[in-house]
Amino acid sequence: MHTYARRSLLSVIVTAVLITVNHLYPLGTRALGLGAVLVVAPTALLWWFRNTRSRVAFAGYLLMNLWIVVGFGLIKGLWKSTLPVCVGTLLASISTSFPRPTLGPVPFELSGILTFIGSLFVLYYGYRLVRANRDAAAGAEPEKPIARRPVLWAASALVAFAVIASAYAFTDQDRWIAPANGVVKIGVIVPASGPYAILGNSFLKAVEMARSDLRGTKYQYELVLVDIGLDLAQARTAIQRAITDENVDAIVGGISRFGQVTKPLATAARIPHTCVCSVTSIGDGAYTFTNIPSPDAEAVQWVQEAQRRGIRQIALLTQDYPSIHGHVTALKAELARVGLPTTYVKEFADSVTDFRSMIAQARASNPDVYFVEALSPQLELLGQQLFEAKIRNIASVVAPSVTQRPELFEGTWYTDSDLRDIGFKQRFEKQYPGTRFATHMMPYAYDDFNMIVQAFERGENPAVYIRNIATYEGTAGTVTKAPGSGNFQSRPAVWVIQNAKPALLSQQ
Amino acid sequence: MNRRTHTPTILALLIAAVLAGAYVIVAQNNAAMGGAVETPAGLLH
Repeated sequence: MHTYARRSLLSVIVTAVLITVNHLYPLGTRALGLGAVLVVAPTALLWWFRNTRSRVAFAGYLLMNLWIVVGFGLIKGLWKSTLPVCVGTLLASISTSFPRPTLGPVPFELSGILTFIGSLFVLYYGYRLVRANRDAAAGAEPEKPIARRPVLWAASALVAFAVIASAYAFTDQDRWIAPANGVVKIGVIVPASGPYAILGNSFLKAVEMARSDLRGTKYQYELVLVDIGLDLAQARTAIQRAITDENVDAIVGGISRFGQVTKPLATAARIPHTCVCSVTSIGDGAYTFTNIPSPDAEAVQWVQEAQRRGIRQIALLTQDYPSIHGHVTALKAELARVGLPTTYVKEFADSVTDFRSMIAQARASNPDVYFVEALSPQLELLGQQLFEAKIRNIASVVAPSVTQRPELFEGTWYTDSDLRDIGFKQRFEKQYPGTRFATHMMPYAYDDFNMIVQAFERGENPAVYIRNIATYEGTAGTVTKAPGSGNFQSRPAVWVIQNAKPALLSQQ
Repeated sequence: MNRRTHTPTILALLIAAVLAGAYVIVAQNNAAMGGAVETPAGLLH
């Protein structure tokens, strides 16, 4: 019996170590406490049993084994790691009705799989220990394990795995469920206050307009506005409440930092989440999909327009800010690819208010165009000082469409989202006269809402429907998506500030 | 040759194969789902 006791304890300790490693990711150093409990408690109980033959100690030891096998081995190791990795990814590659599983880092998933394997050893040696204890109590020689009928054992294991994998596949599949009472609730996740208020408000208006444009639909569509405030923790609570209390069937949202918060919540609820977000990694192709031109697409379009205009040298004056930095990085790469040189490159901090020496240095480098991109109020300060320096050859990406003082940028050309249906903008401005039309978000908000509506009207699970979209003809022109991708790609357009208003160059 | 003497070797090889396969699957899956998370873009979008 001592042999099996030793092997049983050894398998428990090894599995406890694996469980600890696996739990370091969600629990941090608290996982060490869990590991200590899983090692010390069984060791103490087995030591007590061996010295006293206490039934309580033996039962306690077996209960610890049961916890490790069921709680960690089967539920965590098998159901949450092994099956998603081995079966979930296979199913997702076969059919879009199965989401691609959200997997953690490699060490996390491998330790989960090893926890499952370790728990099988815990189960086996726990069983052998019980048998040996029973034989010892009866005064019989312990039965030695002999590998009998290995084919039968292997076949049984395969059948058991197939049954469990089938159960997993059944629960993993996204199926169509008709909305309760014929009402589809769509959560609109955008900030309604703070520096994002202008964008959030106009995003909401675009979605409201999309809903009011619906005619003769099978279902009613109700918007659930989720005011996520400014704090990410507050946003997480508000979104979770919308999912669990309001039972939203889908989410449309915008702005990357809130998209990142929404993504895991939408995945857990298994509802589609569209996001007008420039951070492409947010779109996973399972439940979250981004829809906005990428910085790379903006850069390609910008450089094409620069070449068309005969521009040979460029000066860059840009604010040090993540999204702007993304545009500048993509632009530099594209400029290098086509061989267009930059004569002056300056990234300024958000504390800078006097740009005159910067402008003078840029002018001295003789650029054909000044590429400027910044947020308010620095965008306006820079625009004012460029204006005073009589510099009019200015270009940008997106920024002039959101400036508070477009008159400073008269004649500036820039890339921004396309607007195939210019009537959309006109209708929007007529319907909401006091609301700013943010070209780089509004068409996508409108289109995202309509994608979800189309799914319900066709009686398809909305997440599966969006996974299957390869091409969509919307207000922002044609957007495309590669199979399995979570990012809709679209080609931006060239705009120009004319009479202090953005105008599409293609419609000049 | 005793069949039982091979059991630990077969088990070790099976576990190694499972882990190697899982490593490839997880790495490919994470790369396809966007890879490392970038800094949120913030105000512009």
